[in-house]
Amino acid sequence: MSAEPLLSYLIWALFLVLGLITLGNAIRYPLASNIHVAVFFAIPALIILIRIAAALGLLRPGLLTNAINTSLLLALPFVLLRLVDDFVGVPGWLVWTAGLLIGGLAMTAFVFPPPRPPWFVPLAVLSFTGLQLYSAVAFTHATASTVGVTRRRLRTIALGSLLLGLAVLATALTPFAAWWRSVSEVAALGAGLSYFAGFAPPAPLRRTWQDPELRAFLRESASLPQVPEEHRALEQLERSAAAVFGSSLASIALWEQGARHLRFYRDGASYNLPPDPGTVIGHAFVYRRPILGSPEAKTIAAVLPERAAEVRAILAAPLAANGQTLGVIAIFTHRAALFANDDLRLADLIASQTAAVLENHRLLAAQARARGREEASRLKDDFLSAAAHDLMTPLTTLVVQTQHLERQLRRDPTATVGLTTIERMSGEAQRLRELIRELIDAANAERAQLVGRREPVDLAALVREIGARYHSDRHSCRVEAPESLVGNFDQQRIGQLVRCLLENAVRYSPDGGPIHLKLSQDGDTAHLAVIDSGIGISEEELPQVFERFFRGSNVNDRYFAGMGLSLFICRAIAEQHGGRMWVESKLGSGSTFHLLLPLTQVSTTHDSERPDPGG
Amino acid sequence: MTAKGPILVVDDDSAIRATIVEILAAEGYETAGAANGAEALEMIEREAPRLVLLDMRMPVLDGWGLARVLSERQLRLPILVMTAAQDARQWAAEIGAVGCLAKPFDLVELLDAVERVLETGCDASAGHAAETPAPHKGG
Repeated sequence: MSAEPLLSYLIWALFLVLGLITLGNAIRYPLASNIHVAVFFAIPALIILIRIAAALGLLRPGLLTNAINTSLLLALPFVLLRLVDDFVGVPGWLVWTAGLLIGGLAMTAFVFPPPRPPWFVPLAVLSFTGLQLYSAVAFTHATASTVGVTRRRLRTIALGSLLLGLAVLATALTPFAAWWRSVSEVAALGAGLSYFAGFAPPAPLRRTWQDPELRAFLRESASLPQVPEEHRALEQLERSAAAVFGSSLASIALWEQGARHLRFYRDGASYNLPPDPGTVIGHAFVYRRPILGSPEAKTIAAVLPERAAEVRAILAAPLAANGQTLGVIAIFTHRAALFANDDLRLADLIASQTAAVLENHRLLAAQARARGREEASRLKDDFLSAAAHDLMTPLTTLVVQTQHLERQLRRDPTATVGLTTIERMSGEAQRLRELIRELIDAANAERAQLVGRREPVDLAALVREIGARYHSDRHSCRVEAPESLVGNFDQQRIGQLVRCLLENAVRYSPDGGPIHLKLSQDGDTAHLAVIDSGIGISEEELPQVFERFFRGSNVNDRYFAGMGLSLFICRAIAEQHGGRMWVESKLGSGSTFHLLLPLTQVSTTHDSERPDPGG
Repeated sequence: MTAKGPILVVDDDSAIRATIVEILAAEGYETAGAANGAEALEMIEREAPRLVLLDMRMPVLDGWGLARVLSERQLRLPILVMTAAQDARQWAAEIGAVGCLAKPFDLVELLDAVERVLETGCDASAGHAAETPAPHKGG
């Protein structure tokens, strides 16, 4: 036997095997796409069987076999068109037109024995090449918009179309040189194998194609528990899970025990779905099994109303962890053919991994919440102990001083009390009052309840008035402000803020020195700068200046320092007016405190009462 | 106690410092005040006080820092810790003080503690409120 027939027999054997495999697959999983693939491979197998039967003398080549062969060949591109429809979609009218055309030609082949009407061959060649070309273009075009395994499959199918085209061309060239026949047969074999790999990839090949995305998914899921917000972690999981299946869309639904529904999040909105076992997603959740199916209208309506046209199949798997079902992961695709049955196992794996990530994420979040509560409780304890500590010192002075006076007067009722002593006692009593006010303000600042009713206030007049009060020989207080600068403020609180900044400027300029108040308007924002030339703040301490209980380490007398809450309160007043504060300073050469306040009404939580605009 | 120097009041709060200095002076003690550990150290070296009333939390050099420097320089002298912190006794023990006064303390507690330390070198009842009336001492 020469090499040429051997090659032919080998190719025949291979096509018969492919036909049997796809037939078996279609019988086991009778999905439309599997049946179409089986029919597609049955055509060359039938043609080959007819040839074998003829070669063995079982069938006499005649008009009937010729008609059957011709019809089968004509049917091939039509079945391919159906496969294009299964995998990427074809307009309905095209399928119908092609069906009618091919059906008509096949009937002609039976009705008119050769020689056939003169239009038959050109029309047959035209429809064959036209449909073949269309399929090749459609598959090639679709690869651009797909990912992962789907893209690899579609590329292989496109390659198959290319090889089939080459086979047809080589057959046409056979009269010119005999070896074109071999080229044609090898190309046909390549086309067959490519179509087989693309349309019905065997499990090992499918897994190889899914491998890069699966690895990426596993790699990414390892880092996801650290992503702070659960919904963001879920979005990333959805994206990479979809990629594993070569789909563009996956959605994770979480079970809400209280509301008893599955909740999907998408683009900031959420959709609820009852756990109805009659739906694909509900089935996966209730029976805790992965499932492949067509989405019901209500699922689409609930989950993906805007993508209804694109979604034809769902692969859903339960998110099970520690005996609990946390929810469902659903992978959507526009074509059922893109899922294979062994994808269910992969979906289960992806779902388990997703559940593990979710569980880890929740544990970490719970841990963080516990730590937050501990931290809050520690802050409160610190606050209370610092507050108690600061109140004790003036209280001790008052107690000891009073008891001392009492003792002196008991010993000698005519004893006189020095003015200094009375002044100190009065001073300490006032200091206690201020400290307690400071505490209450700080507590209100925490609850964002410092700022009360706002009304139009002339900031320029306010700053000028307060500045004048702080002007002394020791501290010249220069105010630079526009004629008038009116905004909506809580006058009392803004006054408190400005006074506090001036007091700080005085307090931290122990050697005297000028203080400069500079008020300006920048668009609809007022900018106040309080500039002193005092002891300043060290660079390390700058970030803490507005923290609670902060007192500069270069401050010598605690008597003047207060509780270290005043700047914390100032910042809260500014922020509750929609403004902000910051400081620039250099140790030894003074500080500049900046305050920005929006002049226009800015809504805050405690601004329900609108001030009278005429006020 | 061999030292005959003043009682040194160390507190960064000028009001309480001035008050205690004045009261102890009125009770007949020689007194001095310092606003932080560094000032106190200077005075200790210069005037060799017989007792130090020491606040713990102070800028520049705090109570712990002062106690460390004193022990490094082998300057041994009785210290009474004055603090509003809850850990007053523990802090006193940490720096080897003879006793502690927890703010807010009474006049009687202050005078008793001072007297006891000056007489016996230690303050056994420090931290407890004195039940007995204060002993009269000078005018």
